Amino acid sequence: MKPRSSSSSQTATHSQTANDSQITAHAVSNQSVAQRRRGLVRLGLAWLAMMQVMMFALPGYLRPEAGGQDSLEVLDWAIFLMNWASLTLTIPVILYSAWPIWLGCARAWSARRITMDVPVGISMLAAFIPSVMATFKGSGEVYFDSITMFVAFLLTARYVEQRASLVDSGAFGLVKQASVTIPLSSGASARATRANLNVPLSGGASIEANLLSFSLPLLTQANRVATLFVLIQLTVAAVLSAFWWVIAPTQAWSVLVSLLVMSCPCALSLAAPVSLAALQVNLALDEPLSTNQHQALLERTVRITRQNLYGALAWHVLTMPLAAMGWVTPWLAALSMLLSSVAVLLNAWRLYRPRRAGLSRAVGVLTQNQHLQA
Amino acid sequence: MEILYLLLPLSLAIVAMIGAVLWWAVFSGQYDDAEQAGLSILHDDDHTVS
Repeated sequence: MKPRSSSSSQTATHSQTANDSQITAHAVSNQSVAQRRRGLVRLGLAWLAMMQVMMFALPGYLRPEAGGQDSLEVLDWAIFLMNWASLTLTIPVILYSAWPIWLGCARAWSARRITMDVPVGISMLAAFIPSVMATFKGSGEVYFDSITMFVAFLLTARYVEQRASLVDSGAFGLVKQASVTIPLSSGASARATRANLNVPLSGGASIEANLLSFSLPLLTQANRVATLFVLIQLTVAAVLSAFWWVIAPTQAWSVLVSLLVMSCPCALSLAAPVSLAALQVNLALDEPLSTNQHQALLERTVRITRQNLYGALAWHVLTMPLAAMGWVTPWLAALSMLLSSVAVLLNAWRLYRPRRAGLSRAVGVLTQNQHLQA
Repeated sequence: MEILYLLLPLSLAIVAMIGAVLWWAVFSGQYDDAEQAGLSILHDDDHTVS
């Protein structure tokens, strides 16, 4: 829905801002808008449920420190009620928010391939089913807080990745249509013609081919590392939890769930798409780059992608022994997953020049208005 | 502590309400374009020549 504008030249304003708000405006096709809305609702509901379930989970964490018999009885009764409330909130998260994950599992199953969704699905089930049983029985550990946290954090990472790949596909379109839409504003049109003159230097159509041949190896490398990682992690989780099952059966589930949550390679799967998206937004900006700068930018992208990939891998390898020792509770594992994803995002951010873009955009708009008044 | 029998369903109802409002807000397009409203003041066409 477009906000009402008092200006009579609504259409001109619209096409002007179409290239101003580069990141948002290219999502024009109805399908991608609907997809983004669904993603946003899934994400929002998961966060909402997560915060409530964490509150409901508090008595469960207090139980080990409970004092006398009386208070323990009251606490157990409260925990029983809270578990039911948590279960009520977790079901929509599992069924609605996590729906893309189940779809991904089904696709992986039919293609007989291991994807990132497989360990995620397994860990959700491994945490959910025992929790439901414990809720019905009225005793035992529940992991509803970990599940909702996991889904919320995972969807956050996915949402960012999705937006990044949308920018990926949109950036080329913007470069191509720039010459059509920009001349509306006098300030920007000067830059646009300069950019147009510069395009043949680096080759209009060959930019796309170049970028494609540049991105593909990086993406395949990232995918290969992530798949290998998932396979190893699943095996390790199975072996270690079997080991725990033998020596301390009460701890085994907690360890299994933590290990599986840790095995989620969100940060790995984010590594390449976010840095490539940053690169392409960078290239779509109106300031043209010299050949040297262009080359330097590409090298920087490769470097940052590698940093992201191997940094995330190192983080996982370092935290895995802690989980294997039983020191990392499932919710802590979910938090560590979020932290590594955020680190990857911040690292890719360094490639991005949003401030300069925002500044030149604002200057362009201002000069246009002055021009109109003169 | 019997108050929990009232408070827990109440909190669940409030969460459901917030969820429904979020649902409505997103699907009526409130989050589709967060930049446009802020920029609209710059695009305002206020020259008076007819």
